[in-house]
Amino acid sequence: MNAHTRPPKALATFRPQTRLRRLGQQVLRNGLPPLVVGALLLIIWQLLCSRPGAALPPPSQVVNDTWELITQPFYDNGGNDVGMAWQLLASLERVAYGYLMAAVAGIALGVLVGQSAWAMRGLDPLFQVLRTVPPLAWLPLSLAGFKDSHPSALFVIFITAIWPIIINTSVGIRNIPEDYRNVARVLRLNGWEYFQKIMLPAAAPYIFSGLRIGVGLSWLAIIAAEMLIGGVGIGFFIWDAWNASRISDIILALVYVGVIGFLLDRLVAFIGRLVTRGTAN
Amino acid sequence: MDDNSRNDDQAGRGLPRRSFLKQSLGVLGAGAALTLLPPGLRSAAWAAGSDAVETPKAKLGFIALTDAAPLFVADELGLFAKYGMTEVEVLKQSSWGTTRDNLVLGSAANGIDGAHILTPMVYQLAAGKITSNGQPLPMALLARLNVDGQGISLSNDYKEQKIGLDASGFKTALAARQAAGKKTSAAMTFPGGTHDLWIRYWMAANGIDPNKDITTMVVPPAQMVANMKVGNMDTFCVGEPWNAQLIKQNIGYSALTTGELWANHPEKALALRGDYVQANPKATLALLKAVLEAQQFCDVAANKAKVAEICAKRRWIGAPADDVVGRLQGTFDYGTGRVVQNSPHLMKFWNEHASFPYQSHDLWFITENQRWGYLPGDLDAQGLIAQVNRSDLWRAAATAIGVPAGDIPTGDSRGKETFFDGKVFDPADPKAYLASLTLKV
Amino acid sequence: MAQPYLSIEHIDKSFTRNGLTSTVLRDVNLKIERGEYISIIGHSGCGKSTVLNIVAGLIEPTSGSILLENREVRGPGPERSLVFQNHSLLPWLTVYENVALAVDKVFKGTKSKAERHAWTLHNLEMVNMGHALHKRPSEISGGMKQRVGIARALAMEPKVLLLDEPFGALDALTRAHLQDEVMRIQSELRNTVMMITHDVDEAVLLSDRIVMMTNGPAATIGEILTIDLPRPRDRITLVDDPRYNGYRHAVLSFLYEKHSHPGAVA
Repeated sequence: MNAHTRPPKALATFRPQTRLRRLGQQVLRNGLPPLVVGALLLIIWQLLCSRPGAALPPPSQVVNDTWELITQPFYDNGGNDVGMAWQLLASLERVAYGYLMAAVAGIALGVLVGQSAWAMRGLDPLFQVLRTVPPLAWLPLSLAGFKDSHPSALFVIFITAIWPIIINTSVGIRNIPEDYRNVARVLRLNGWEYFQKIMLPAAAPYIFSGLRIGVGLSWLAIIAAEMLIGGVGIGFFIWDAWNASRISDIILALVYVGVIGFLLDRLVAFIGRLVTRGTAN
Repeated sequence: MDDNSRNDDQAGRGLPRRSFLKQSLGVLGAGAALTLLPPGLRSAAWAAGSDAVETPKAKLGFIALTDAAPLFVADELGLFAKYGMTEVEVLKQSSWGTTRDNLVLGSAANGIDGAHILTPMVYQLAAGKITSNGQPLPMALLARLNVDGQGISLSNDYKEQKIGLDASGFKTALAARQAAGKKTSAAMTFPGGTHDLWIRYWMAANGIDPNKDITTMVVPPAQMVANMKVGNMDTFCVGEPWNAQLIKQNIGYSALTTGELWANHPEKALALRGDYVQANPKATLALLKAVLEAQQFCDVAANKAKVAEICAKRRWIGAPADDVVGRLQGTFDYGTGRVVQNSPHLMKFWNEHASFPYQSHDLWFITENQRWGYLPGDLDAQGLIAQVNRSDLWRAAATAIGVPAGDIPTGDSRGKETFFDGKVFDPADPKAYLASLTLKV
Repeated sequence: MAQPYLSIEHIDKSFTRNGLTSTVLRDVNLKIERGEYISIIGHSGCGKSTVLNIVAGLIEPTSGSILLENREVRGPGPERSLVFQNHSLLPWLTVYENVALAVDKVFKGTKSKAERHAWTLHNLEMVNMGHALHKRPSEISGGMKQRVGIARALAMEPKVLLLDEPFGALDALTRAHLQDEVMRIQSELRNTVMMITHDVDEAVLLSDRIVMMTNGPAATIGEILTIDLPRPRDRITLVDDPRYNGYRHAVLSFLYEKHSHPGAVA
């Protein structure tokens, strides 16, 4: 028997690795470099902007100005004046609705376009044209169409996130190796079984690629949309801070926005790995 | 419409009558006390003898400018609740465009019922010129929120010329820039709105054609300052605290405060959707009473600091109180070294009949909109004003809160208006005024 | 001869694209007995895979028919199960689940859940993959993947087992191991097997008969060679066997003398 299940381990480090130790090493290996780089950047920023007349406030001032916002994320003073956690949650809620709708519709349309050459020829040119329309340009149209500001905001997210999902899904569907299809044919799987057991799992890595791009775009779109429509949300918070020249508030908000965007991406990737059992990136 | 004599008394309009009930409510904090009472009793409690409001709810929009102060004050001091409007939401709008869209939607579709709004915009909506489907939106203009207090600012590139009401220096400088191939632009907040009309009037009176000699465009206030900083903006007209902030950041200076163009000129209005007023007349009256009382509060000299403090809250304007309080009190630092104390052109909310919605003023705004092509020349201005302007409600509310009859204008016209360049607007003959203007569309 | 178990009758196959018709197969006829091990060999491009795919039902012949137990068969089905050249295991399923997919589909009504589980395990044991049930295809070697592919095909209890160059992608040693496995399984189960190969040694070692195809276009069956070597066959001892070498000679002669590929080496 010549087959091995795993390539042989390097003999050099032959210590029994406990799970905890391995986890610790991984955290150190992946977590330390960005922390170091981040700290360096903060120091450079602090030095560059500490001189009087600097264009941007240094990190120390940002923290100073926004201390109340940082330490009290859940305060509520009425109207739009609520803590950062509430602002972020409001935006995330809109993203959740809009993105989920985009995911369902996007995967469905992607499967349709991927499966049917006719649908591809009919719908693809339409998709290619529509997807270049910037999300904010949809806002006045959707306001006029829905005659209600809540669904309009959700629509902006929907129409932004759906394109990468459709396109990636259809590519995934079309790239199902012929062999898998032959396996299904030999087994005489019916349409539903084929869809569920072969088509979706085979296309899943592509679908999740599209979903990851989509969630990032959703987050971008809602920030921009909220700048226009107002209400409670991190986008309007940024717009309002800009109007009142509160630069430190904007910087703080951007940090939060970036972190949340990163976490959303990781979340979708994680779910992707779970669902596709490791075959997704 | 006959002339109305103006009252010289600027100070001393204290808070109205001290009914026993209101005094005790005042002790508890009106709003808090009312929430302790069961709903049925609440509206009955506020003023003995009046009927209950049809709905305690209203959504009012505002833009973060000092002229919305009466709305802030009404909310902060519990004045809405005092008159039975216990569920009023005063909501910051992100732009005048959003205000327009939300008014068209109405609160039933997650929009707003009324707003702190540019006076001409009320008529543009009522005439159907700015709605997305071209349909007229019935509006009711209940009160003027303020007079005066806007500013026209210039970038420091023009500091040498020390431009003021007289913009001949600006004109030559502009021509030079254009000859050198540079783009020149003037910014305002909304096409056909008050700021657009002020800057156009000022430039046109100085021989600068706002459509040909310079590009006049809509820019959000924050962007005006940012653009001027990088040299992309030559002049703008906007409310406070922007002009003060421009000086503070050393980017530009104030050419004038708009009261110098036209003394005691009307500015923003409080307007509601027509259908709200029709369905809820008592609620409308209650809102109006609260706002009138707030306007009175804002014009008491001793209260100015508190008003500035309220404006500084993140929820309202969020700019530093220092940027706001100076001009509120009448101290104008023009940024050129010239500082005027106790200027007569400070923003007024109540004094000198600032709150009364003169129909002659509405007529001027419509006429100027026609001048620049924002409204059609054949519009039935009088008919529209008769539909939209609700000075009758204003009088009813003012009487109800105890404003002495001598302080309530009897007519709807403030008579002839004279501008800084000597032009006269006679509300009896708007066409003659229009014809007398050389620069127009 | 009694009614053949599997009969390939007058199969023609042409492909038409952009108005141009190319004939791949012309009048292919073959009768196979039950339990026979048939290899089809020929130069690349001679259409041997096409023949297999037609028998499998994945491709429709332009004319002619396939008869299994005297009934015409069209379209694919588990009674003619296929082992692919590229194992074709589904990467998101474990070894066990790949075979279970086939078992659950084919035996849904006829075997109970416990029986299907046992049957799946049995087939995996038969190819010596019982120790790696919960591994993913990405975690096992090429030879093991092919074993699983064979287990999956066998688990369908096919009437005819079709192998499409099953060991082409493997190295020589692994190939040898798997050939021995297949022979061992074959001796147990006595399946009817049709295999495509271009390895002469493999064909002679494993088959009862070798079907040699002419070159395309319009390829057809050139010669059929019966391999009369006793089973079980051991490759080491066969190396010196003159009959073995004679058969090899015959096949090589067919391929490289009588029907050498036009245009020589690619």
